[in-house]
Amino acid sequence: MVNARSKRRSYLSFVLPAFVIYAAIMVFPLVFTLGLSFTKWKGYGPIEFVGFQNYARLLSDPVFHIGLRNNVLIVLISVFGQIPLGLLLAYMLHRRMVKGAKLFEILIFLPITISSVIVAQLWNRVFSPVGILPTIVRQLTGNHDYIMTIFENKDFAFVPIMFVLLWQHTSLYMVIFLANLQRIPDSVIEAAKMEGASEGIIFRKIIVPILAPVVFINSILAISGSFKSFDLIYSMTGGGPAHLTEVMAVYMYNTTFVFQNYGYGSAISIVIILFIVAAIMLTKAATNKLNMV
Amino acid sequence: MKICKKVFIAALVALATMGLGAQTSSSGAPVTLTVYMQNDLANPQSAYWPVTVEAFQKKYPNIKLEFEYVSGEEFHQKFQAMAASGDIPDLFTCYAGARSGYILDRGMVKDLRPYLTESFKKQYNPAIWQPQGPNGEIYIISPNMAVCTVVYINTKLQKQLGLSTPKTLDEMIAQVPKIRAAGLTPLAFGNKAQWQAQSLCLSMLVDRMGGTAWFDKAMKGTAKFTDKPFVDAIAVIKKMVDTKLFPAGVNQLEGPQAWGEFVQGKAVYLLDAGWRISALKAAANPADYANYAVMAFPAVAGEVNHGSSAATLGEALAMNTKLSGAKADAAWKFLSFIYGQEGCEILMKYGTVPTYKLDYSKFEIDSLTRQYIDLINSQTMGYVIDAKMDSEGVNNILNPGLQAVMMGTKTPAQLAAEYEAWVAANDSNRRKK
Repeated sequence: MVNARSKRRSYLSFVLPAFVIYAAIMVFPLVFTLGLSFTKWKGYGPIEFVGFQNYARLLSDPVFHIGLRNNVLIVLISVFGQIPLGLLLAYMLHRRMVKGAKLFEILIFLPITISSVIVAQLWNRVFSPVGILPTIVRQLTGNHDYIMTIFENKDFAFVPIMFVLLWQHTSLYMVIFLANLQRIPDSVIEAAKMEGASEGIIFRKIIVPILAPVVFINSILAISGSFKSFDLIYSMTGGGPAHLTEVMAVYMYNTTFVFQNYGYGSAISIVIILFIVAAIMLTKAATNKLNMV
Repeated sequence: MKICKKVFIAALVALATMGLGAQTSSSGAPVTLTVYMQNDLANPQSAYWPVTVEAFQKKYPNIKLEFEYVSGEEFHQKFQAMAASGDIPDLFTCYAGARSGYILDRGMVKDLRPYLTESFKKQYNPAIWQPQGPNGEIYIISPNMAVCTVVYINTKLQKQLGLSTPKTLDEMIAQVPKIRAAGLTPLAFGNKAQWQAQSLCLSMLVDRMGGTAWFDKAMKGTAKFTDKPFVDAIAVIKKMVDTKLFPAGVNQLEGPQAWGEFVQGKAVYLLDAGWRISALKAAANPADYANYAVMAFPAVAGEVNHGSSAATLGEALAMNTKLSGAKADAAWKFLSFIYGQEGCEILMKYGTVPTYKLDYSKFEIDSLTRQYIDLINSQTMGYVIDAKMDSEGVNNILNPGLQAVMMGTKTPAQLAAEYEAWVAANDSNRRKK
């Protein structure tokens, strides 16, 4: 009896501090945000309870819809662009299919080490009407009014940002895959080669199945990161022009801190969390079904 | 007898204490003031500030100042947290409007009217004494008016191209083919950050088309933003895009890139704010700078208010309403120094034209600044929309909507209708009884 009580005390003494810290920095803000999402509040003064009004507004808010669409595009480019490309590059470097693999490794890894704000400024210097790319095109074509009109295109304004995201984040997945590829014994690949397997067969039949759990982990990282995307887009376009490159996190930030509409901003935050949880559960279900994990 | 003795001793103690108190304040015992200021000291435009503080400390060595500098949006976020806790510093940056609503609405800012004698007020541009609170309160002594619309001219390019200074917008537009044929931009302007088209252009145009009297009505709801003055003002901006007066990709161009093009001699005119002068002076070759001139935005067809610009009070330090006694005296000494003659002379030396009336003959003023002073003294000033209307409507509907109009995906009437709908349903100006 004493032993059981003592065990419980020990257990609590280990768990409680961590639980208190977790509750203070994770649970409390989450619950507080959830509570605020049912209110109208300027960040000061009286808090007005408005029920589900903020959530109802989300359904008819065109700016939120643009943000959601763009977030889905980031998920797509992350899961179907960055991860496969990262795997392919990692495999090519691991199998030494190119000369100077170490140099390429460093070059490909470089973008992820740079702050997103700097990356945004860098690409702005390329894409801006007075940037490198339009200047070169103007010189070549003699069209003095040339600009990258894609940024003002209702349907494709987000494409250049997706390109930058692909450029910046592929390297992270590449490094994770590369680290895991190095754990596969060479003998496995050598044996396959002796059996006459081509490089493509080795990749599809051996490498991909072995790395499936890593694909799953990378997918979770990609999806949660995609829905939280903020720094690069905020620095690169701020969601403009005319909300065309808006994403949910930027809209949430502006709504809360610039427009001082804490209630609506909290509702957007809650929806972002729900999307992340739902997307991760879907990924897990899909990978379970495919017996990948 | 005993009671008399006690009363006598108590009276002695009270007298001694009062005497001591009087001695403390008259001898100027050290007072420490905490100052929370929105300022980026690394910005060249803040170069005047350390000089001002040093001059103050020299004059009042017994007033100690403890500064905390925070810039940008972070200033407001941190200040809101302080305001929520009810504990704010003795002095702090404050705006005369909604931007500082989180402290003004809580009654945390001292009304300075008891300090403002008529002789004190006479020393300033009268525009800064417009009521800043619902009961006529004055919270800040704004050291500078943020004049939002000025057209800068590169007279050298003008001469090279054989152009004269346009009196009307149509005359300016008529110059576009000649300027473009020379491979130059007619009117440099950048609207990537979205606020510029509204603050630096639309606000002035709305004043030209309707005046402040119309805008007052629109704020109250007795006029609407779907009215002709507002729609026409937006249509003028659209016309400026369509006639290629603005550079290509104006909504992708950042403000510094736009005035950078002007400084590099790639644009004949620049549409910007009055506060850009010091940056132009710092960036331009002195010989080029000497060729710059300023003018009011040219006349627009249909305008009812001629030659006006738009301006708002610049932010300033304000006093905590809880300050009293020696601390309040010290705080007032600080404010009346930095925003008085001594402080404003330093401000003027660093290139900012203050609201305090100075004897300009004492200063070496360059030609552009002199022209600017003459210009703004001759203009009436309209409202800057984002200083009057709620942030969400301006930043979420109006500013991006202007970009959409400029890109041709929305009409001026559509934008006006969307903005009016938002204002009618949400803006605090319409909810005031």
